[in-house]
Amino acid sequence: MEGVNAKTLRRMAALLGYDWPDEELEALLPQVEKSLEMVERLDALALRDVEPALQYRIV
Amino acid sequence: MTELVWKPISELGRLIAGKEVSPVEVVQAYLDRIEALDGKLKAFITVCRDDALAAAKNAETAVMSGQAVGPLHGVPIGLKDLFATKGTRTTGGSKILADWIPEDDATVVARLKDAGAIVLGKLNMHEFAYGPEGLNAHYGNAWNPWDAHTHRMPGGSSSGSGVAVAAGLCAAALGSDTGGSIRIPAALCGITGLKPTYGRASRAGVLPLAWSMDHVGPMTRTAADAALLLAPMSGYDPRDPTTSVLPVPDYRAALTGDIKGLRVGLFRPFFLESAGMVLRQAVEGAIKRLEEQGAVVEQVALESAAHVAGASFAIVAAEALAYHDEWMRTRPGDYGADVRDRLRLGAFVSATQYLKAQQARQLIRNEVDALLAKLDVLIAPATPIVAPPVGQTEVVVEGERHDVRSSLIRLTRPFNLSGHPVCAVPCGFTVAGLPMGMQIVGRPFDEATVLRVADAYQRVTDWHTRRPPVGQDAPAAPSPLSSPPRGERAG
Repeated sequence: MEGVNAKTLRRMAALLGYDWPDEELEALLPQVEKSLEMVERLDALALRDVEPALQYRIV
Repeated sequence: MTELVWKPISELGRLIAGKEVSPVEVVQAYLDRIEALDGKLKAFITVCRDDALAAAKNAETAVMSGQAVGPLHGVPIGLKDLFATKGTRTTGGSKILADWIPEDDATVVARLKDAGAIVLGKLNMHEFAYGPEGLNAHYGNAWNPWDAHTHRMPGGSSSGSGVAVAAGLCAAALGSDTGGSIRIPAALCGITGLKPTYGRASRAGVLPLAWSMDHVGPMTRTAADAALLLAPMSGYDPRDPTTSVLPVPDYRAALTGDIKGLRVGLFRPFFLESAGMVLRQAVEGAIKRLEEQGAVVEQVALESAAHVAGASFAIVAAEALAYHDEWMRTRPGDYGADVRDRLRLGAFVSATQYLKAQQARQLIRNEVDALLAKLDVLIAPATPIVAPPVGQTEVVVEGERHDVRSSLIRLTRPFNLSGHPVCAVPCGFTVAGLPMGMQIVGRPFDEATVLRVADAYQRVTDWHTRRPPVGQDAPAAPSPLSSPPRGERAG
């Protein structure tokens, strides 16, 4: 995944209100990159006409 | 030590109902065994000695006064420590909830108590169910009882459930399964684990890991015992809006032993092909046993399997962090380092990615449904590896290095996404004596067929009757069942 570094993680975490130590976010970076690569592979699927597996039932 | 602790539930229930054995005697036998072995095994976080004995005394009184009792009456069970228990602390394997005492039982706990089951205690688990290794920094690492000398992973996250059932510390246990947390410890500990269909058993009162992926189910020594527990656990619960209103069938009646003409699909690509050779041989041996009983087997593939990891990660990571959000702001230091890191990953999953993952999930479910439109069940290994030593982070399978955690969940989590019912059963042992498991996957809400196949397999094999070396006090009685021919044994 392009553009992800420890600074990005810090900013994202801060935007969400998490005060996580820089060194721990730095150490997390390889896992974040690996995980987001897996997620990005979902883009290869034809999902446009697929409704997500979520539903709201009022009754 | 008494042989009582090894009795199948069906037999134990019959002995109790027939006044041949007192529930007090049964509970005491398990408590004695816990006392003797759990210092090493660390299967329990909390042992409910006094409550269990009091419940056993009440159960005995009911029997002696002639009350009608069911098959679970007086049967001692253990609960993964994320099932809420009224008046008994429920830690989730965490420091954060170390002192939480719920005011109500989880629905499935209440239903099992109503059916006569007696809760022996709360079982060890990976912290907040977020890890397939089954390790726990706060309460100690449970010990896989199949290796007396090397501390091996029991598998998780329902580690204590797997260990306790395998080592004869309870007759059965409950587990939860978000990526394989019932089936992985079942496979690594050599027991039977059933993940029912999503919506079959209530999650109310169960600490969540990921709401849309969590399942609860029984962990037992036999499929027949799993059927006995599943019945009262199943059915609609107004406290859990995802539970189904579909009627609950008679699971015991489904265990006919007859699988003649049953159409079986064997998952080879991704599943069998990613397992080590000995494990592949074990599953192929199991397939032969099913064919000998009249099943018709064909090879199948799950084309969407390559997307399971991405979809599963995005859903579980996002939902898990949502649940833990407040504690991750205020008490991040109270989590174990591994779980804290996994929870943090959820912060970097966008809403769009989460929804794409839920879309991909539909495709995966549709593909499994399509296979089951022409087949009755699907078979796959439960794990591609056997229990690794605690502390090991990589394994070599067929010359390739793999991360232990990813390997453990690789073959189970497709069916958390799809929601289909799956039963994991032991299907062999390595030469080192470590158990191996296979999964039997069925149509939605067709646990009856899944259990029928598992039971039929167990009628002609004896893997599930073996006893682990830890706590081995008496040799197992010779099985009246025919064992697989020597050449088919995996170990």
